[in-house]
Amino acid sequence: MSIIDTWAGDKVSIETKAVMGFGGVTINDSSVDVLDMIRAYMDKAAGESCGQCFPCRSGLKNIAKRLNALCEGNASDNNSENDIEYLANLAKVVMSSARCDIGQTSPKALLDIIENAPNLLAARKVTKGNYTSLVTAPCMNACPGHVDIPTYIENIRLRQFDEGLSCVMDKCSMPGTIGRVCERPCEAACKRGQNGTPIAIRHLKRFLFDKNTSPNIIKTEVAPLAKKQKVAVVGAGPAGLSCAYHLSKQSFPVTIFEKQQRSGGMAKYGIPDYRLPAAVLKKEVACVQALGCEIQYSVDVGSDVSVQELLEQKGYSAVFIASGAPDAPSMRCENEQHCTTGYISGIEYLNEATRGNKIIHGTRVVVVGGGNVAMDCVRTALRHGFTDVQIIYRRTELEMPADKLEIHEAKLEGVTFNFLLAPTKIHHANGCVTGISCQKMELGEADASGRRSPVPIEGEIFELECDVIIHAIGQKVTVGYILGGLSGEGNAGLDKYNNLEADPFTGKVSSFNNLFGGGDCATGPKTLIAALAAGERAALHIADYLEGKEVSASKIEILEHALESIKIVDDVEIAPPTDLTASIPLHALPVDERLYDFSEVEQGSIDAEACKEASRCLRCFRILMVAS
Amino acid sequence: MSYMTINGKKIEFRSGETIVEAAQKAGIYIPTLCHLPRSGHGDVCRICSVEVKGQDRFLPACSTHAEEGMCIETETPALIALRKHILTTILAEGRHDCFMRAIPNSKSPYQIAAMNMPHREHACPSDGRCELQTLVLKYQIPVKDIVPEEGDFVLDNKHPMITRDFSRCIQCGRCASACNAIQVNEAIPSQFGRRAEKENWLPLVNYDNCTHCGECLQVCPTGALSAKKAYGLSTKKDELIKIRTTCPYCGVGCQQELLVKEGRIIEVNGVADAEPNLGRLCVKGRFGYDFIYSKDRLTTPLIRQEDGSFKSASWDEALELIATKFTDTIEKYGADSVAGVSCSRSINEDSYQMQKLFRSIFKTNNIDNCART
Amino acid sequence: MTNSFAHVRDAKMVFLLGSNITEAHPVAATFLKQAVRNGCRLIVADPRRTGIAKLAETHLQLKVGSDIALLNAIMQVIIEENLYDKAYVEKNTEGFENLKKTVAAYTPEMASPICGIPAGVIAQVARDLASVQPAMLAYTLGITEHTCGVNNVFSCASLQMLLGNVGHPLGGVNPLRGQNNVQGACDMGALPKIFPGYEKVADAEARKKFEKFWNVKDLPSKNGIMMPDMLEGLPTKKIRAFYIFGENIANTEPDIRHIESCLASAEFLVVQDLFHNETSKFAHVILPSAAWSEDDGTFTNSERRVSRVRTASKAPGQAMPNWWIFKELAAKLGHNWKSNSSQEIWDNEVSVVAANIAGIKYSRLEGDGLQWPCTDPNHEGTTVLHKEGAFARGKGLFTPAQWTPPAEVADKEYPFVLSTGRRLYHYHTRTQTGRCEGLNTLLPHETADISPIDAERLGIAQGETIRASSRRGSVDVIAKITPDMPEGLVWMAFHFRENNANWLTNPAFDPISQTAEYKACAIKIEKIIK
Repeated sequence: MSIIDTWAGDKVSIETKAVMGFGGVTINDSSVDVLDMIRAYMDKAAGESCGQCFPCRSGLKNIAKRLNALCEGNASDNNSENDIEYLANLAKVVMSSARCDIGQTSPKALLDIIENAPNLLAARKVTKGNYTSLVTAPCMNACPGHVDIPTYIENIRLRQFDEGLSCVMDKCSMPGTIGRVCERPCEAACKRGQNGTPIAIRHLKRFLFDKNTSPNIIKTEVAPLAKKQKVAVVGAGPAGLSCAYHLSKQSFPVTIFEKQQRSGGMAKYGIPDYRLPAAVLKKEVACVQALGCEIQYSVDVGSDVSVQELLEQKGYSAVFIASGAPDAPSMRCENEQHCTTGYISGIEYLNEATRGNKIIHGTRVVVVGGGNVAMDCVRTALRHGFTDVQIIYRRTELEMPADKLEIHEAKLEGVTFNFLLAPTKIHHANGCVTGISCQKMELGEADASGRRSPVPIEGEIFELECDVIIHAIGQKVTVGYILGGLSGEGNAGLDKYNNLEADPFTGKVSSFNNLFGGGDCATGPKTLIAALAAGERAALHIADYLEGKEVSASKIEILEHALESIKIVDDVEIAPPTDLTASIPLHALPVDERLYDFSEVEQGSIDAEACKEASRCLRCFRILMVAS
Repeated sequence: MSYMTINGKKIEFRSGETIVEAAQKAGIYIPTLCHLPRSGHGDVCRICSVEVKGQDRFLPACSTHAEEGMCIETETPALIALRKHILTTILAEGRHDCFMRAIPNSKSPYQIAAMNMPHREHACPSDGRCELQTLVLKYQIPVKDIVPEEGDFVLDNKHPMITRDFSRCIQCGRCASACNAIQVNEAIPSQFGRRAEKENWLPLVNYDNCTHCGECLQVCPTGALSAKKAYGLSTKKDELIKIRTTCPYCGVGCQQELLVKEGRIIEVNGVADAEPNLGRLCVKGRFGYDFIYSKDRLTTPLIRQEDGSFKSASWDEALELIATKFTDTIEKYGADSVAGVSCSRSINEDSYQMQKLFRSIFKTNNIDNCART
Repeated sequence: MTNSFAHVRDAKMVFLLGSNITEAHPVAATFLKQAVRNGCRLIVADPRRTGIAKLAETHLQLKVGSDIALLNAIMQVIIEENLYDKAYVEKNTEGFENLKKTVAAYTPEMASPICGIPAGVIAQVARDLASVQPAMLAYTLGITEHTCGVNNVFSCASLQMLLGNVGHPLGGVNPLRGQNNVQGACDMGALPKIFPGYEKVADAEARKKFEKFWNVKDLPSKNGIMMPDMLEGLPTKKIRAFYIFGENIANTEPDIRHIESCLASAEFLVVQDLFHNETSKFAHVILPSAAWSEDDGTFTNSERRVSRVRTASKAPGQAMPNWWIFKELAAKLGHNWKSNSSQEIWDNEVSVVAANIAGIKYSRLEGDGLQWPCTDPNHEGTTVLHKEGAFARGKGLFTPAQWTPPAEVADKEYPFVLSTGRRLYHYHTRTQTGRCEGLNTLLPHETADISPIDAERLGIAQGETIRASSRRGSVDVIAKITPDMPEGLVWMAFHFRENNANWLTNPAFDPISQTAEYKACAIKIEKIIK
């Protein structure tokens, strides 16, 4: 059986003395007491057993009990061999018959020891060691926020909707938004997907959020604002809101400074209402405010007030910068600078559209790009009355980074997709767009990202007539002016791309004590859930800073990160039989009813559908323990 | 139709059927314990585990769908060993004293007290009807070797009709499922999914939501939940007779199964899958039957005396009096001077007879029933 | 019920009126609750915030007795906004113009003050109802126990016909019967105007048929009188010999004091029952009968399903099956009835003479029974009446109704409205449930349910014994303060003798059905000053 023994993520590598997990056991250092560690591991496993299926409930409990006896030096009948036989039998029973992976995988470590070094299990008094353990699952591992997905899905199965939502909100403060627009890496990792449709994890999260109709969805026992030190957050986007939410939950008074007039950042001004209705964000923001957080709008930190002022004059003990990536890079094609009408960026277009403004006119629009922003632009344009809506993308549909569901819906709604085309020149009359010239491409060798790069086909250029061109080919970070004077001459706090140089774990900005940051402004444009996760992690470490503790990544964080680069589902694992329970039906507004306004397209599910979907979850929990 | 193989026998199944359902139709027995088909509950006890070719683990037959070409074994030595293991652990976890009377400390204090009650041979009211007991016998579990685990057990005697003796609870979750999925009362919290706060989950009742329907009692596979009305009656040696009938209360007309011993009802359950109630009953349907055994029942015809008191009479005497009085009245004042009200809770045949009496003999249509209250 | 309980399980939308289904029909309620979980939309009209109302998408907490105003306003919106099923109305109904004319005046704004529901909500409910087809309408005694009960029923039927909902599975007009065999007793002809099988006594052909079948002459052609008139007839000597089989009239009829004076004036009263009760006190002869499970027979439930009842044990002492008692009485009167068991009565008489159940024989009732109409031995029974809008009478007739207030409304002296009904743990006058172990523990006494606002205003504490009085009587009863009650309404049941709601209720009757207005009378409540 394969064994995980090299721990190398792209940001850290950790050394371990020993690892016990769902793949078996590795010992790198003879000072580790294997008997004690397997005892600790099985104790942990028994504690994690949900107690529903009989073999796991009683089996793990009895294994742990016997191991504890051995650690006390008590072998039954003074013969450890009896114990080993007993343990081996029990381990096999649990593994072969438990309902979920807690029981199916955790005895593997014990069996590994019994097979390879049974002598290590001889009864003796042991000294208890210190171990770090982590419970994860393929979906949890793939989720940048490490939301405890199988648990909230189990909550849904058991109709414990409030508990489920609070489980989500432990890690993710915007379940309604994430439940609608997340890029759902979790679903790509779902084991059900090996042999059918993955669990509709995103949709179930949305279900939990929608199900809760109480005006304030969080119940917290802490007194809001009980603590003295104030924290300023720059930007009320996902990262900022998330950081504020988690700090507020720890009773720190937080003020968010937002340049715009509403909260939500890109979620508000970058995602059209038909995908994310305003009411959802409103409820989520209200949730943060209910915890005592204050939001000041129309304050542009960097011009209206400096970070320095916040820290030195306004009495904030720490600042969290989450200014996002609000700008668009240019398309770099001919005549770009001459077009004053009919040529705009996707970000600008959506920004105005989400405010209810239609700033482009005509009937024909071409959108350049293949990501979700491009999809949002074409579908918004349809709702703005454009009748000829085209997409230009330089690779093929297979390489398109946009969500497959989005592509599907855009096609349904009547968007024309043009693949293997790259814009070269904009045509205009007195600054008004009249068309666009495109270079025909073909796919060449794979590039560093593994995708095949498009290569121009000599001489094949043609022109598309249109009234508007929207370029949606990326986003740009502008964070330098926010740091302002603090940054000094040497661009302190910024990395080589001029992004904020924040620690990926703690969010601490290099060379500052009280300055933290996260989200797109630090990483460049990334996913919404990654921004939420950055805010959540930073909140923990800001709290540490404020409480005078050391600001550094915890063992669990490092372990979690190290696991991210490892596939949790082993290749030799046999997929479950085809799941005949149909996956959840997604209810969408009929196409002919959609294009008149910005009504939400995807509709919610009813209890029975959600519970049935939840019952498809295989609960692929895995427990990992390291000695270091 | 699709086909699969169970124990070498090719059987037919319909898409969507579970292995248990398909096997049952083909006459192949797969043991189950936690499975409650009506609520979809199962997949907990793993007693129904079967071997499926191509899978590295046993799969639960109650919740795995049958698939074309599936090749299944249901009684391999490994499966039998697994079932024995599970049954042994269940016995050790609780106080299943029908088998364990010989073992010291195998009874909870409540059970000892209960065993000392009159009329009792066994403490367990489910003896003979217990699904766990049946399986333990089937798989010949060597009960004498079992060492009961230590532990305190909860007894919930608050309910006026049901005793909850958790020393016999196997935590199968059926009662919770019946309460939540079937009766939709949500009075018994489901087992938690992970990181249970308590050492042991117990199906404790939230009496604020409880409607006392007793669905939990009906589905309990062991004696953990027992009907108080059956105390001292259910363990009688006499053969248990099951009689199907219709509930006498509201207009739904639930189908009931009466469990009768020595001519006396000891328990009332819903008839599984029967229209219109699909096995469900309410508090009155399940527990509202013992009025028939009341000491207050009228046992002879009674005739009022001059002084207003009643004296017992023979049927002949009483009917003669009625016949005379009605005949006289009709003769003197006409047929429409008599009237009758029939009972809308008694059987059809009674109402038919009464209206026939009034119409064909008394010659009046002054016959009504109490339909309007 | 035009439809079946099985349809409730899969219903897409249910409009439930005047039905405390979780207490009065608990098992049917489990199906409805499940349906709601599965996405069924539920609209509940009830003055109280009942258990089922809490699960509803919309709870129309209307004022007692305003149902017709509400239903008319809903129909007005549906017609006004052209939301009704025009094809269905045209093809299957008659009298639409008449309905349209009547409901035209009932705009939501006009109905709003009568019902105590905002006009916008009424309009929204109308649109909601029209948006789902078929939708099921179900009601219980909250609709019928009014002086306008029959009109209430007409209005329910009109709404469902307007929406094209009658004659489809998952649709229909569905009264949930209160007692296990109300349907059966009516089917058997225990009504003053009809023979078994609903043939009219006024119909000479029908009489001839029954004369032949029963081998008698001169069956009476004049309709009989209904129970309220029978009782009124006792003191006036219109009725001189009265036979009560299995009903505790002294507790179940409105205005107990008056009813008891009627019973006391009976010249000759026969009571046939299981127990001594408040009614048998007045009897001249009491006959002991066999109870449920002491006799074989059949019940017919709300969905017209005939199911078997079987014997589990022998009746105590000399108690005998009721059919036997009637047979013996007939014998005393010189008639030798042949059928000598329930089965013989059913197989040889009932199912032979009543056309709609002709196909039902005991041999076919071993399983889940059969739903009438079931006209021949191969007929599988009928789950949906008026299939596809083919009404029994030909075309469905709209019978529009004007709203009328209850016979007695709250005034200065009696400022509260009393409404009554059943509770989960007991049945009627507790002659049976009161003798079942445990049920009395669950509900040991009657309460008067009142709203917190009224309680506070009158200084009444939770559990305090208060006095409730109407023009007819007065009872001392424990107050139960619950936010489920609206201001100005008091709710009581009739399970307990001492504080039976029927000491207070008003003996005003629907002119057609003669159902009493149990759901509305005026009372006052006050603290008891010692």
